[in-house]
Amino acid sequence: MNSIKIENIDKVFGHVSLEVIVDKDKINSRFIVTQDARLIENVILGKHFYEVPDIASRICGACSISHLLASIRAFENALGIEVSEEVEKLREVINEIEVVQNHLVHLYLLALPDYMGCTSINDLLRKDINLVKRVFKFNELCLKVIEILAGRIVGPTKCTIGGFAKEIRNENLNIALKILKDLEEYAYSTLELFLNIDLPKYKDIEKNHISIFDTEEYKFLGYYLQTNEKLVFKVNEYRNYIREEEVDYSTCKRCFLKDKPYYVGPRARLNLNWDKMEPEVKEIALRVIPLESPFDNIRAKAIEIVQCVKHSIQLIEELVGKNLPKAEKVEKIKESEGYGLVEAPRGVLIHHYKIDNNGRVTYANIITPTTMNSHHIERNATNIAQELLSNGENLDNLKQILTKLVRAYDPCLPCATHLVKIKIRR
Amino acid sequence: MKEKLKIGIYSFSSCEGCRHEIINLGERLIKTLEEYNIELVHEELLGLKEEAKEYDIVFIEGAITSKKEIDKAIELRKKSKIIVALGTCACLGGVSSLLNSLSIPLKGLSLDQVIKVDYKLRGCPINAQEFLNLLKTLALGLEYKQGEKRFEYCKERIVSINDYILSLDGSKCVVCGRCIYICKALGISALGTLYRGINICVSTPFGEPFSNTNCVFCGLCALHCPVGAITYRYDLHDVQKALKETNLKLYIEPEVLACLAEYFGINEPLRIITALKNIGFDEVILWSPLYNLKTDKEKIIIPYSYAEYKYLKDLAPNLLSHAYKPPELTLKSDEVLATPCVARKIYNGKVITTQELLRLIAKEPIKLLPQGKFDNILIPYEFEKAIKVEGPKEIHDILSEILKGNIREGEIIIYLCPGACYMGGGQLYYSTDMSYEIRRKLSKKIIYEATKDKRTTYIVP
Repeated sequence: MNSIKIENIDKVFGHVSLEVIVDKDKINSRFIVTQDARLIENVILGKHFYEVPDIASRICGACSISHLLASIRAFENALGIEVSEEVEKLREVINEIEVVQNHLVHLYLLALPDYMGCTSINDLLRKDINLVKRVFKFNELCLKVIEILAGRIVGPTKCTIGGFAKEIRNENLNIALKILKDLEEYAYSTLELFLNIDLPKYKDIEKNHISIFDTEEYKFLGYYLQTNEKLVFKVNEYRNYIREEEVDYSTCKRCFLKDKPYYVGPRARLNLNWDKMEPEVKEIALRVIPLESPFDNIRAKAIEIVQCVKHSIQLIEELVGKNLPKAEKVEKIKESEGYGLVEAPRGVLIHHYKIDNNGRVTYANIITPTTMNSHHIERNATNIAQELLSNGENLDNLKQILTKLVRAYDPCLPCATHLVKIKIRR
Repeated sequence: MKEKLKIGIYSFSSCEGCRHEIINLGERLIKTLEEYNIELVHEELLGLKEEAKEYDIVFIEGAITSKKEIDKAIELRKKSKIIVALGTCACLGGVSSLLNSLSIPLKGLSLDQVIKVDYKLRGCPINAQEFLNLLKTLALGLEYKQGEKRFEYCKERIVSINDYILSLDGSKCVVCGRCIYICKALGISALGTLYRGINICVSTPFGEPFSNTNCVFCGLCALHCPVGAITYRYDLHDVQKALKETNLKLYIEPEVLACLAEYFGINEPLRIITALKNIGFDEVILWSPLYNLKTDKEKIIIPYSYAEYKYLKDLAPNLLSHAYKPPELTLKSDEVLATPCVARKIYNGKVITTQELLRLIAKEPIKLLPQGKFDNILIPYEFEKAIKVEGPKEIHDILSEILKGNIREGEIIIYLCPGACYMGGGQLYYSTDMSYEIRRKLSKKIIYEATKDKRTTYIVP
């Protein structure tokens, strides 16, 4: 038995290793999250539901807004609170800008070094300092929009159950709009850069995709999920379709859609929802779909950046002049169950809570995109290893490609590791 | 060349938000690294995977939740000269320490429960600017004292508010809290602190304009501000300009003269009238805001200015039917009002306070001037017997009496400022406790001397 282990993969959020076990003819891959379990679900139990969004946004520093919005929406769903159209739109904008920011950090700082023959930021600085400066400027502008609209970058303070904790003023919307219009230029240059990158050509072995479903728009907040086999179901029924399974070698669960691994993320969104994109973006998307290789995530992200910027400009223009009052405190609390569904930057994110008559949480389940993708990564890694080993490729090359593969998924381990229940063996 | 300072950033169980904040510094981080000759050896997110044998500084975020992490922390302690804990998780245990169930092998531990920590950066997430400052200080080989250099790096979040009457310039503020104290003491609390830690600054709630808050424009915050961060609108320049061009009429309140007399140390306040005429005022008229008020049997409370009226409106709207409208005055273009009350700046036209008037006559040799005479006296006699209530505490008492129905008639003049107009927001800052008594006596004296020809009886102060 022979095993190839890539330990502590860098340029991903968190600590993760990939192990390929070669046993005679059979090859098996293990996506091993070495980060310790954070067990946020346990922390949430027994807390009052007003505290939960704040804790949930600490699950992950990179996509804290998505976690925040998902938990807020879950409690709104549970208590039957309906927010106005304007609130929904502004939340969509905040989430989309977060997606843009996450994508660009991943594209430029985590993924790009691989394709420019660099290993770290220092090499990238030596090679093209202007590019790095431009990226930082782009990042800064995104952060500014988030700060204006959501209050803070990590662990935002303005979003709350029922709407916004503070009245959103038109001045702020106008400032955000102005910055977003500047962002458009950056978005297009990103698109140009990443569409022309040479990516390894490879096809998924597992072709199941899941993304959010909306009839009209390319949305990030919703209530329905869809698969690539045109199956549409409400998030409330996710347990009938999605099965979670614990593994003993990793602190990250894995998920199955009817016993098959599936993929969530930008590529799934683009493949399933491309027809709802903005017209100009749709044309670009038409040139590249279907995106069948896991490495194509990079292209999907570049396209999504343009889509998100354009869509949020449109949404904010609709919002200017509208009333966005402060949210009212929830008075009626009842025993109930709620589901929150958000497309986080890395894919579908589901929050599921139950609360009792006093508003205390009695049950919590959170399924993050990286959990859903973990088995998909393993399957693809196995396949690639098999292909390359049979071609007699040397080990260093194989390791490099596998690292690239993991990085292309952009796994976020702080998100993923809170899910595990630790079994106590006596 | 000096050897580069080696630093590393490590992460244990956390959301990695603190690391995210550091990376979001972007260009500023890279610039700092260059300028201070620092080498970032370990930061996996940026592809820096290697580990140095010895570090100068190691930054650690996240709580410790397993044996493996304890070992790693101890190893880093041995390797590094300085260890800095980043954020709530590393400082206090954070979210991981909130775990419910006892069956979990290890609750989140803070870093200093495991190893010795040299510095702690607070916050969830940390403040990136504080991180940079710490890094710079340590790179220079100095000891970092948290919060010491606050005024150097809190400038990003300063709040400046411009309003019709009051304005707040956050860059001058030293966060002494006097304005907050006085505003709270009045029961208004329009001012408070915003943000926490090194970013703390004085502001109205959410940085709203003063007019959107409870503010009554009493101007006491401006009077008490030691550095001039809070100021009220200055009409002085308009008056100076107008003085050169036309003849001006000056309406003046007795408290203003009393306060100036105290400042100049004279016992004959009427000398100031001569000074005023010397600098170009054609007419000086003694004026009281109650002059235009018509007695109304059904009403009891007389708000002495707009401030009291708004205070009443916010505090006890149901008593408004018992209150007179705030006194009004329409100033023509050649008329100036000198007042101890900042709230009177709400009148259109040139309204100057005692502080501004002092600037006009500061150079006059007051002590050598003869006593002057008012050209006109606009002081009503009707309200002579009115009860005067000064300060928020007394106002509360008297209002509750009215609400109970114990007081049904008579006139009650309310002054919001503790010490009434003698100690109003537009007056000069008082240096002794005697100021109130001195000003009150002088003020009575002015009224007595001005009106002694016209009346037969007057209670001498």
